[in-house]
Amino acid sequence: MTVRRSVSIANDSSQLSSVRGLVKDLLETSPFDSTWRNKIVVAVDEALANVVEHAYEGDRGEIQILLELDHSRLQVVIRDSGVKFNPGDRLQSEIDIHEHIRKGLKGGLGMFLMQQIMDEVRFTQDAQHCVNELVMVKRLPPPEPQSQSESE
Amino acid sequence: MPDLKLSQETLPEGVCYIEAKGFLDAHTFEEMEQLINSVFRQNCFRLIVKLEELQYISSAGAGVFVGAIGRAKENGGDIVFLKPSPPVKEVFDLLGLSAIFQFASSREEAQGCFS
Repeated sequence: MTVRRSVSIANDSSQLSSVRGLVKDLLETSPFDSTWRNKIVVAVDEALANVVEHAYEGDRGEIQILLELDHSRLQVVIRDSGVKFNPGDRLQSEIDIHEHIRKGLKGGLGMFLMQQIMDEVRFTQDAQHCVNELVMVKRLPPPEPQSQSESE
Repeated sequence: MPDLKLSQETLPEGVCYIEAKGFLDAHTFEEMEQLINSVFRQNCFRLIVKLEELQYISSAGAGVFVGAIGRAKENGGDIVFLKPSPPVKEVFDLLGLSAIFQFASSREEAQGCFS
């Protein structure tokens, strides 16, 4: 069975908490444990916060979030119609946190968290329709082995 | 709407005690940043930040501390986290901050980090 949720929000950081709630509610029905649920909520929040901050360069705009949970994975799609986004070298699998501290850098940590938490993070642009799309996938954990009494 | 609640008091030996409750994210991080900057302006660079009732932190929230600890240390101080909640500690662990910041499980232990 596939469970789908979708919501459209304004590019306003006050909307982030409601999307976190939506993701959390969906994950309640998944086999992810509470630690992973929290981490996945963080990854989605980071991705969305990035779009809220950068996509429309201060203008108003709409952001669409699609969540899809099936037997094998959670897929998160975030779409906006803002400026073309190219993650470039910001999509890093490693960061030098000591350098961040040395230089007093506060940014650049969100992309790293997304990479750390999710199995796939892909950015695409549909230039014809001026749409940026971010797709993140987290594969479900393998099923718990059945206990002896359950298997009998 | 979930929000951030901050309180501040001054302890002996020039230690500033901040308690954060709620949600420290891209919407609320500036409140924490402003509070830490105001503490620094009062020449207080020894910070204990209680995070026991902070339910959520994003990179924007963690970034406030990443941006502040260098200045605290340059001025002979430090930032000590008191009892971070499990989801907050997970984010610190993912970012590698648990190896850089000091953590304490009681106020006395946190104050001891400055003696």
